[in-house]
Amino acid sequence: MIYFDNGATSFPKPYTVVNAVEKSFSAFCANPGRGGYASAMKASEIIYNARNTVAKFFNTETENVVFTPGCTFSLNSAIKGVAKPNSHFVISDLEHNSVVRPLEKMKNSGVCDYSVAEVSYNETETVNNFVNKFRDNTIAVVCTLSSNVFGIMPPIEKIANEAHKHGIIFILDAAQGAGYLPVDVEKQHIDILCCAGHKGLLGPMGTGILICSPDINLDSLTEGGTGSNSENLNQPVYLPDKLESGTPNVHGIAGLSAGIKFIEKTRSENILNHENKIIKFIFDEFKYDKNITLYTNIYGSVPLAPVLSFNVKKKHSEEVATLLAEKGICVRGGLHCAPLAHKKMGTLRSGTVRITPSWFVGEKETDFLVNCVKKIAK
Amino acid sequence: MSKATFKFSSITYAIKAKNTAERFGAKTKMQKNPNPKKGEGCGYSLVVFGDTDKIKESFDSGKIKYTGMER
Repeated sequence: MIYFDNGATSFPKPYTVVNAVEKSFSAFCANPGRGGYASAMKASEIIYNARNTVAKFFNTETENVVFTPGCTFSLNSAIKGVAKPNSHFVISDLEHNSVVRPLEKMKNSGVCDYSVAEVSYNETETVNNFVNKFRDNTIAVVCTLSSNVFGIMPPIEKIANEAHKHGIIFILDAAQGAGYLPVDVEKQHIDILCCAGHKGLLGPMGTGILICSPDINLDSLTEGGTGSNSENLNQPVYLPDKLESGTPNVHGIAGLSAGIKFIEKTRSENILNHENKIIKFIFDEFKYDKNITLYTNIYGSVPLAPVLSFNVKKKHSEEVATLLAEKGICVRGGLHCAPLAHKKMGTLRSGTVRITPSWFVGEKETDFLVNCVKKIAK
Repeated sequence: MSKATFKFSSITYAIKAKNTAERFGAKTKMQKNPNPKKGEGCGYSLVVFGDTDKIKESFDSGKIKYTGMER
């Protein structure tokens, strides 16, 4: 199997991740933050150490890190947690359905409204597009770190700065890019960071992260047992307990922590350079093929994340992905749950075939992928 | 060298406090709060042997939320 679908879920996982998950089932399989016996305390320590690893990686305090079942849950928590009646959101035209659908639902039920700002290849123009959508009742901007379909990266720091000037919360969807693109909660002025654990952070599926600035009074999406203040019928008001009800996914979190440690050891910039090199090779091979359509230019004026979308003329993206699957190549066709991005790029009907490499694929696998696509395109 | 027991409602702050105290060279023992008072519910206690004044100060400045302290 040749795996180029890391934008959906990264594979393979480093052996340290697999080991950490396996160990969690034998060494500390008890409920963290509840019991006082040795294995429960050990499980609590594992969770704390993982929280600390995440905090250092994204430059925040340990207690600001909340573990969730995934980025979708993190984004729903962030969006619904800041929403107020008659409030307004601004999002980019590259957002995933994890952002659009919660907002669309709240819009349809009359709770709040949202506007879509265009991301262009000119940073100033993009920032102005966001600012022009701000209203008196705008409560938050939700923006992706990089498009999960086209790799386009909005100027998040500049957008966050403008949002703050207007007293607006900045929520970053870093599902695509966290792990290999730089994300620094403090330096980039991110109020709420939402991440998947199973993509670029190399952790298991069913893990996610929400990092919330202590200055933001984020309402909880779920309430329940936290192992703290149990006599009080109200949810704790402090992080992380406020946003983390129920038994956490100790096994997944142990794996996620190991994934981040692997990245720290390998270094994000090395992973990014490796993936960019692969994308550049594929791009150079595809760009002169008259039967292959590319949608972004990696030699353009702005850098792109290592995500490449393409189509083969006269074939639907799903058909191409199926033909590649028959050759043992894993890529994804279709809309990648991001219809706004496809509408923007004119690919809503066809979808795109998406290539998302990883640290673990090299020249041999890339050559095979390129040759298979070229044969399909003939 | 003195002894103090800090109480925490959240395990996250209890472990953060334990690590902080140990960085000051203190010996620590963390356990479930053995005698929760009315209103406290579940929680953890951290027994600290060391320079407890300095450690308390570091908890306060580090915004490590404890719910009580007994010497």
